[in-house]
Amino acid sequence: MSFALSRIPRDLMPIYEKVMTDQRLTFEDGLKLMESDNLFAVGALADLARHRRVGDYVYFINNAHINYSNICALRNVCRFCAFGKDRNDPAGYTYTIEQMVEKAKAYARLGVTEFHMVGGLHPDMPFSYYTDFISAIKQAVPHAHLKCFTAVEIDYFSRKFRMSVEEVLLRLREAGHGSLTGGGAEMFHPEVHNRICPGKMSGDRYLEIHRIAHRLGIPTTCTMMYGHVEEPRHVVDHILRLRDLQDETGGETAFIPLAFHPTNTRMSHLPGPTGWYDLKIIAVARLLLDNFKAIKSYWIMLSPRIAQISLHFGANDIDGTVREEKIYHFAGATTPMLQEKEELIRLIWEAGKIPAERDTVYNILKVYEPQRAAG
Amino acid sequence: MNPSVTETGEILTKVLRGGRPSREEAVSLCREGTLLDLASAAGELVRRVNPAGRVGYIVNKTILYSNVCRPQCPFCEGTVTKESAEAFTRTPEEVAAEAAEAAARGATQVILQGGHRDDLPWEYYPSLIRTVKKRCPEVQVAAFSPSEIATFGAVYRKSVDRLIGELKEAGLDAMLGGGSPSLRTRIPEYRALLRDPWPQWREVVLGCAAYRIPMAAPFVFGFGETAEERVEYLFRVREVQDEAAAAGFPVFRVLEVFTLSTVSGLEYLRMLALARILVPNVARVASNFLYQGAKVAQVALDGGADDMGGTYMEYDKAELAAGRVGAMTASEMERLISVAGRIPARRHGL
Repeated sequence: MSFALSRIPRDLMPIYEKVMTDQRLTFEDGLKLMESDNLFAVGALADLARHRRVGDYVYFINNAHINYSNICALRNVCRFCAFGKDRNDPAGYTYTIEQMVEKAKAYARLGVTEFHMVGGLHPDMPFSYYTDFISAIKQAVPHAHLKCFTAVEIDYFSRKFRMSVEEVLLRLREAGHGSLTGGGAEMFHPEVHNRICPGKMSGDRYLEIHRIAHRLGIPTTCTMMYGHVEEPRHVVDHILRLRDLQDETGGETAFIPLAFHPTNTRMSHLPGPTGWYDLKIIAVARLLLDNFKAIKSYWIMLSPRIAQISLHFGANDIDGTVREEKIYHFAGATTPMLQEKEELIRLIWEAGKIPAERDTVYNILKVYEPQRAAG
Repeated sequence: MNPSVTETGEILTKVLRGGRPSREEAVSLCREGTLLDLASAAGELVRRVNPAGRVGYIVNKTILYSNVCRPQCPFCEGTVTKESAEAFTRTPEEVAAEAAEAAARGATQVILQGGHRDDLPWEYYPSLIRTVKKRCPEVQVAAFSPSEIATFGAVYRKSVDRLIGELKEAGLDAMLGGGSPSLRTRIPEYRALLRDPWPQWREVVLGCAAYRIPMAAPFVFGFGETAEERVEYLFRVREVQDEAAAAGFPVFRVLEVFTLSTVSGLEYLRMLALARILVPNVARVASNFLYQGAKVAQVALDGGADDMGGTYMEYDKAELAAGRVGAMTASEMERLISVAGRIPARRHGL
């Protein structure tokens, strides 16, 4: 037993016992963890849970984001967003299929194995735009996995093009689509949802779309946007709803907490989450989500510093090289858009963990044997 | 299990029972201690001495009275040699005006900073302190470090005791601990400042104790120094603090942990915890947001820190939160401390 575990404070001992005996944590356990002032004790518990449940690899992926357009019909709905623009806004853009193919080819030469593609809800594009860019990219870079669209985009396509969710997903898959991204969950609880994005697709609908995707064998990741107006109970509620869905389908490959960035949004009066809260969320997610393999610490929005520390708080994935990130950078992100693979490997080594390069569905492509960092 | 893990556990258990680790044990903690183990021990030590969870901070400003410095150490930004076209030295009145402006914006401490040089008349320094104190009597004036005092001694041929005495008489409230073994051993320009670093450093620190001038001890690392060298500094601080306390004035009020941004947050937190573990006789350990960002500085509050140092109002590029860069304020400090479940305790000086 590590020293840190030998010093778990009394109020957290019942949770320690549960982790050691593989018992499921309750809503109340989640609240207690959220409210604990013993951050490092919570971290030690999460680290233990990670070690027992999923081992010591820390995953990363050689990926590239391509945000196909920022024109968004929900421009006035999501108060936390700095990315979406009106169709007449000079800052608006929509990539052509040729532009995307060119980017994809260039990224493929850098060893990229996954394209992560999301965009705004474009009011004018036909469904063929999406299926065409998928098949064009797939044709240009056949080995790449196309991880495209959030549940919100799928819901929009379904309503706009009058197709069932199943039909949308099947037609996308036919074009070469591989999996769904996890964005758009925001925070499920209506008390929060109604304050940050009133009128947006509900949490239930998000879960329903993921459920349908999983039934069709399409994997997804899932998210939670935190650090705005929520309370601890809303966080625990959100995480447990994802745990329930995962019990049912097993189709979620990773949980990715997303830190709210206030800059340039209509909630810019809010200060944004602190480092303490970032780590708390990661640790609580790891402890509650006993049926998830990966808890991802997305360095773009946490900063590489906190992402690295989070590897001791239950996280076992630091996303990837990313290369061209727009959504958080419109919201004032000061992190770089690219972390070289070597940099990610070094960051994991320095944290005393073993880097494992993965594909989209967590097959290990290569393990980088740990080297002690000097000093 | 890795045998060193058990060893870490044994050493930390001893620390929590009130024992002081040996130098070898301290080096082993520095090399092998994991973040979670070191931070758990350090956090527990803080909870014992500060059960209410009060976390100090201060609204302050660093004022450069001159940018001229002889050594030109590579880690220092913005200093020039006296021959440079950009060299400036401000009059005491100019510095006092800036201090008054800072006080009007809420600062209760100003840190006067200049370089190591040999071309000003001695009277400039006491006059600088006197003028600022006269203009802002309620503001704590902190200035000079052991290496500066040593330079003064060589240039003006005065004893350490006399130098400190004259500065105290001019109104100097606090001094900066200045100088870690890492700088001394790894940076030749800095090393050259003190002929015999540890005895000279000790003489100045104890001189401050004799004149009841409180000091902050900076723990600066990340310049390629060894674990032994880091431990050496922390042990020296502990020893001289014991001596000062025995003489009736525990001179170091706070141990401030600094490093440039090239050091990871993980390593920063490990070293901050180590500082708390190895130096139990300095009441407060302060984290610092300047180079590590507010997020890392805040996380340290459960890992050995019970102070967040100054706001340094001259600095407006602090990483305050995700995607939010700006100047640290008192209300921002209070938010960071409150979110960590602690009680903000604004202090007015060292």
